[in-house]
Amino acid sequence: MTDSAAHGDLGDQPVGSSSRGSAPGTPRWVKVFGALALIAVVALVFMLVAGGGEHGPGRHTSNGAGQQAQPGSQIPSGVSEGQTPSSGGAPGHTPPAGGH
Amino acid sequence: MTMAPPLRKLALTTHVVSSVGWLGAVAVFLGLSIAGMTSQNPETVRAAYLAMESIGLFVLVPFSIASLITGLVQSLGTKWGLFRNYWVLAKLLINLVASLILLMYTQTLAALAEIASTNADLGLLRSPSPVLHAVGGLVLLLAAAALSVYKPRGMTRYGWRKQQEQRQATQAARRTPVRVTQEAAR
Repeated sequence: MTDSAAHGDLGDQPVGSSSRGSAPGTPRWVKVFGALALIAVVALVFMLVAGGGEHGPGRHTSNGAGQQAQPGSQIPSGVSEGQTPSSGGAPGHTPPAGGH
Repeated sequence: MTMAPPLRKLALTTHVVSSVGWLGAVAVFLGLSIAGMTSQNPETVRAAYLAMESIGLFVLVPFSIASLITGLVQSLGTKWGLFRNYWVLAKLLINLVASLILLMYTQTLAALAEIASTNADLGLLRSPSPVLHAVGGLVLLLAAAALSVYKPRGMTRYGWRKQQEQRQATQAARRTPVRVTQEAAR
């Protein structure tokens, strides 16, 4: 377990905080955490821009098939005329093109 | 407002259960997504994507919302506060980001499940996207769990100001009864 005397266990009250006269500086772990978050955001934005701003179901499925299998739209390749999407999926569901 | 110890323990238990449940559900989701991407059995692949949609809607989303709400209650109902300590703030950000991405990703899961419900070519389904999202979610939730246990030191400026105010108020409260007693003795 952790240093429960200094920090308290899960959900316990904070013990022993800064008592100096000036405001405490930002801890190193917060800077590292922030830098990693910034890198992740930049990478995400780069991927979105590289993908033409599209990040929906069609992007995630191979060959952009996410929008092909919608009811009432084109039947995906490999499916015969009689094999339309069954009702076992999500009837009437229309994933937004600009969704995630 | 600080919660009484029995209520605080109940709130903490609810938060731990919902957060750990979310983590476990993401681990199950990761297993299914790997099976969906790598299995050679068409039925296994289709079943995996159908199950992933159900898990997303009926397990992951409820657990994520429960974790967020109970986390807010836990922080605001104790002296930790929501914006006083960096580790609490970091957990809040992690929870918000993970929940937001999860909610948006349910649309992709619905689209994949819809393809899986047809006799479409399996090549359309074999997407690394669920695996990547599950791994990302797992990393975020493990980081949040580690923050909860280690509680790294670091107080925000707001937290420091609040602490100073409380100390001054406590010191003032201690002095007042002494003065009253001394005046009464005279």
